[in-house]
Amino acid sequence: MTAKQFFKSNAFKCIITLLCILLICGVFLTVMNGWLKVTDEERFQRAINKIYGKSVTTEAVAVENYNDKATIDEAYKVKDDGNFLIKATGKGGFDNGTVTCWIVVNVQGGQINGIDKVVIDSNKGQSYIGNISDAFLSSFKNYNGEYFDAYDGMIRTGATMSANAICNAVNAAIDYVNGKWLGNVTTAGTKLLNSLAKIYGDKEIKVYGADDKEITAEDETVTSLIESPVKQDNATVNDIYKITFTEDENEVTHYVLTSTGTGGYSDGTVTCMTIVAVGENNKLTVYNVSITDNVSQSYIGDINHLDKYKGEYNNGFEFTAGDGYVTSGASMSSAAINNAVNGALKYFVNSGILAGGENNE
Amino acid sequence: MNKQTLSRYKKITLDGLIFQNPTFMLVLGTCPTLGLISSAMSAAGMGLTVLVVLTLSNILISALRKVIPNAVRIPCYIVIIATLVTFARMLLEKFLPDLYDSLGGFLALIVVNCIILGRAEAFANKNTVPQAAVDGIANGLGFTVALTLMGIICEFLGKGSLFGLQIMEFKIGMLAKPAGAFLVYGICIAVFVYVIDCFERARRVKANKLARENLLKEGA
Repeated sequence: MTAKQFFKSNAFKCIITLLCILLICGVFLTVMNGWLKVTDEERFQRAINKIYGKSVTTEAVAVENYNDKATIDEAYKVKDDGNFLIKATGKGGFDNGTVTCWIVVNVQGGQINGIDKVVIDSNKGQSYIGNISDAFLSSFKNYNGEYFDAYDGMIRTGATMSANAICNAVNAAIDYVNGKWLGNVTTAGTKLLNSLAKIYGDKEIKVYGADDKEITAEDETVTSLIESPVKQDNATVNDIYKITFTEDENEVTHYVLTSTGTGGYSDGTVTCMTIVAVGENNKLTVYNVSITDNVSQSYIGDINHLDKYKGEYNNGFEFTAGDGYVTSGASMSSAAINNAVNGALKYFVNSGILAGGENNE
Repeated sequence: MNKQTLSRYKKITLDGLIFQNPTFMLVLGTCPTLGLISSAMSAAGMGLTVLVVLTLSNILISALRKVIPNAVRIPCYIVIIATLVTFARMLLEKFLPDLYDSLGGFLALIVVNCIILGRAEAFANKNTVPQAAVDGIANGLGFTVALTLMGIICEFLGKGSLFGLQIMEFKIGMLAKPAGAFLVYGICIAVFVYVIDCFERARRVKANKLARENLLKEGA
């Protein structure tokens, strides 16, 4: 076939027609793409509006961390109503995983008025994240100025560890808004006093740290009676503080021992706050045991034997599962709790902090 | 417009809507049908998008039917349909992002929807532009109505809601899933075919009766 024949052939006509259609379509789509292209900014604003629930104008603001249980990833101030939209990643999920959430913090009159919305963005290793119900996420609306605690008073989810990570993210968002924007930094002193106030209720307690210095809410840092964490058997004793208060016209002395016990589920740990009452002849009895933190303890929410410790202890006695200091279904976590309490008490007795403590036998 | 032309348009419209309904009678476009009818809103959105693409592709293909060589007609149709689908996607993403998100991958799959290529090959490349446009609208409406109807049934019984509005607590979860959609689709086809069959039988009986009467009159 000659070139002339080719140009007159049906094959050439087919190629040209197809190419023309392709060219016209290509040009048309290029023009339309320039006109209808959704910019990154538009896409981002849509995502924000979806989370917020209505169309709003936002302004990205500087990120700072005020809480070590979560990190603030992004923060936006909503220009329309002064609220904050915060993306925070909460630690302490199942198997040391994390949950990232979008949190709408409602601010009115210079203080946090509530948590309007919590939306899960992503997670790492949270197999049961699907169990987190809308009801649980809505329960953050009931903000009363205190930290949210997945193990205490919140809706049970069937994914307690993931819920814990979500609570940590929300608490971090609250701390961020309080600290960065409202000037209400939660000091270390406030945190300690608030955690003790939950246990002592209305009692007017005084808390003392190193050098018998009274700890107040204004203290940005608090110094414990021990300089640094100390290892004791299967536990690490983190802090010790002294508490005094008056009861029936008698001055009562307690000590707060914070310790982390090993041997939990999946090589995890449980951190406990053990409060010991000092009686006559420096006789020690456990006043209260509470869990403050844990790593990888999926069933920590099931622990129900903490009241058993109250009023118990004599030097040399160790709390063990065999003696009933265990919760069925969470035996590994119970073992870690026993390790934490036993280690703290053993160290305290032998440390000499309590006058004559070494001879408390 | 004379009576014959009007009758032709009427036939095209009724065929697309009822007698050759692409969903119930020809069972075409099954993939998006089963994937999207768990939500009435998504089903209606999909139907309307197909209606627009089908009408425009029919118009363009009919207009170009004398230009496009027979040997490359299918690649040409595909390029035109793909362009229109991409344009529809751009419009939806820009102006109706929620619908765009809910249609997901099915939106891109309109390119290979049998209804569109089928109408291009069977009708648009053999008829005039107005006829092709009416055919596109009729078939698109037939598809939209069928999808929306099944979407309403599946969403109402499967989720207890209608167009996203919660109406009742009772729900049959399976009907909100493709397996349930398959059942609803089958039942709808059966009912539709039965109704059309009854209608056609009645029409035949009426025609026979008329013919018999005419014959009797002639005989008398």
